Amino acid sequence: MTQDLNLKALERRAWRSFYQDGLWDIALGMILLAFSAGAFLDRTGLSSGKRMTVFMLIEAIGIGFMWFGKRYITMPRIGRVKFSKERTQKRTIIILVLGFSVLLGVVLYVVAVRAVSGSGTGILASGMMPLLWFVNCAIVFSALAYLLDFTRLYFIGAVFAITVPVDDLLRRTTEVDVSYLVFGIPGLIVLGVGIGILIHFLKTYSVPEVDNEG
Amino acid sequence: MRDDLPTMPDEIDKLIHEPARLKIMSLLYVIESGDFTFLMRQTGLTWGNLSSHMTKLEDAGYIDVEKEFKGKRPNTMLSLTDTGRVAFRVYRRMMRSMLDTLPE
Repeated sequence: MTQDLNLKALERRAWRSFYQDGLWDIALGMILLAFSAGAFLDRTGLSSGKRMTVFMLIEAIGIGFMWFGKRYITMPRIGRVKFSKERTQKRTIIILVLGFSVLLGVVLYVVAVRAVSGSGTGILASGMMPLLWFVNCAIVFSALAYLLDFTRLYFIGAVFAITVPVDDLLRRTTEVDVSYLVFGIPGLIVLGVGIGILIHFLKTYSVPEVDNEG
Repeated sequence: MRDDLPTMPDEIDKLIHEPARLKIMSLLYVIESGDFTFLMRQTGLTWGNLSSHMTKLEDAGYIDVEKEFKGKRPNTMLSLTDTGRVAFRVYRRMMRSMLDTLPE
């Protein structure tokens, strides 16, 4: 009885059930892999325009998979729900935060590419880039984790936040360019976790034979 | 909010008091609306069970059934009516007052 009448916990459980599918993890893992691919292609001497195209394409695949996955994998298994106005307002904030973060991320990436290719403003050399990246990731992922009530995002945020500072540190101390590994290894870990969670989700929830058409 | 509630009835609302319907009412109270799949997943009830309880709640005027389209597919969303919300709040208040008066 106590359990049934704990309404806040009930609402929270319903909300959190939408993050049991691993799709966020997969999308974020793909974003890290996009950075990795960009860094790897940099070694091949590919033009920055083509590198950016590959970068955006991999990101689009990750985000697209999340969007289609929510629609065609999660919804048929978990069902459709309209949450309270408070949750809807939070969702609007999430979209704004994400939009700002992606914009800032792209700007930082362009700055980094220009700096590495020698036409930049020196922001990379000054050590500001890793700091900006770290602060952006820390703020954005913490805000998202809090607003989405999605604890795993704190961990993913920490992984994102340390990549650029670690890359910068390795460049300065070893003078070896292993950016593709610095982004690629955590990217594969986050992606792997996401795929594992998705498989578990698919095993746990089959599409029920329900007449939602009433 | 509590002041808007009608006078406490003499008896507990047996329609809500049944465990499965209490689960449904509680869930619909904390969201705006949900479809059959969502309610099934969250309450752990089978489709047949859920359907029969829904009919009873709908007949009592506690639940509203709204048909909408998701793309080309029709989808039925269920939500609490104002009557249902008030009935649930009255039920909660009554249960609380009943249980609070019990000796330790």
